Amino acid sequence: MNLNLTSKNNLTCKEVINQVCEHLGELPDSPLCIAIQEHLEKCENCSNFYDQLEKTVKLFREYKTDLPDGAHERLLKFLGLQDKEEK
Amino acid sequence: MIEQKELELIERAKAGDKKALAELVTKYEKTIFSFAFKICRNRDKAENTMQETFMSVLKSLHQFDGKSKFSTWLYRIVVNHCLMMARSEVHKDKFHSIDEEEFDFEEPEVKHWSDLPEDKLLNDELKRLMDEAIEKLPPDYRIVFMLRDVEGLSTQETAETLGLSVPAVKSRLHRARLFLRNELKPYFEK
Repeated sequence: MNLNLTSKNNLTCKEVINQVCEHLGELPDSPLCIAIQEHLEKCENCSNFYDQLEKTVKLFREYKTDLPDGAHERLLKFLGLQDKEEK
Repeated sequence: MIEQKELELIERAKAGDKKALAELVTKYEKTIFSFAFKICRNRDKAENTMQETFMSVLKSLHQFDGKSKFSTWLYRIVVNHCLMMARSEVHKDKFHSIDEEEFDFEEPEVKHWSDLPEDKLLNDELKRLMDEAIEKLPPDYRIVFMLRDVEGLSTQETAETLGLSVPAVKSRLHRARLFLRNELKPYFEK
């Protein structure tokens, strides 16, 4: 199975399958898990689909925003904590 | 396990030390603002949510028992404020219905999303698409995705924060990921 994981995270295909099967509540040697492994080993669509999910998560993780100007001061004032900061 | 230094800061804050309270607020304000923004996608609403969250923190800090991480306890409070705000919004019908059927995908060919050069990552068009996608996702799913995938809480911590079972978290996370992937697909495959 090529899910672009082995080189990145040192995960073996067996470990990935175990994770998938655990999520499904199946034992790794169950007929369903064996069928999944056989399918993933030759399925480019599934490999691409996994990669797409990974990219989706990465993009949302990287989309960050800073605290607006003055928000810190407004927050402390709102809480009645202005002038209580360590200088 | 909560760090000793942070525990001491919290204990001082609980005892009414306002400098300690200000230090605690300063330490977590960016985390809370950032999370609130990711949920409501509006800077003014996010700032308002941050203020209300810390007001709640000040009122209920005495209830924090140190058994969970302080950040997990904070997330619980900000999540409640985000959900209250989302539920009070008039246009509830803007949320997309997340059901099993729409993920019964039968795409004949799943294309490889080519790796984009750095300057193409998170450009304005993609950010707008991501904002629209997140806004369509019902808040219950949005919050699970943000806590687990973006903030990096474990499945167990996410479940505890939201008062959900672990299987419920996994199910919502799975559907949220699939929904968001489908929404970004046109950008990568045009």
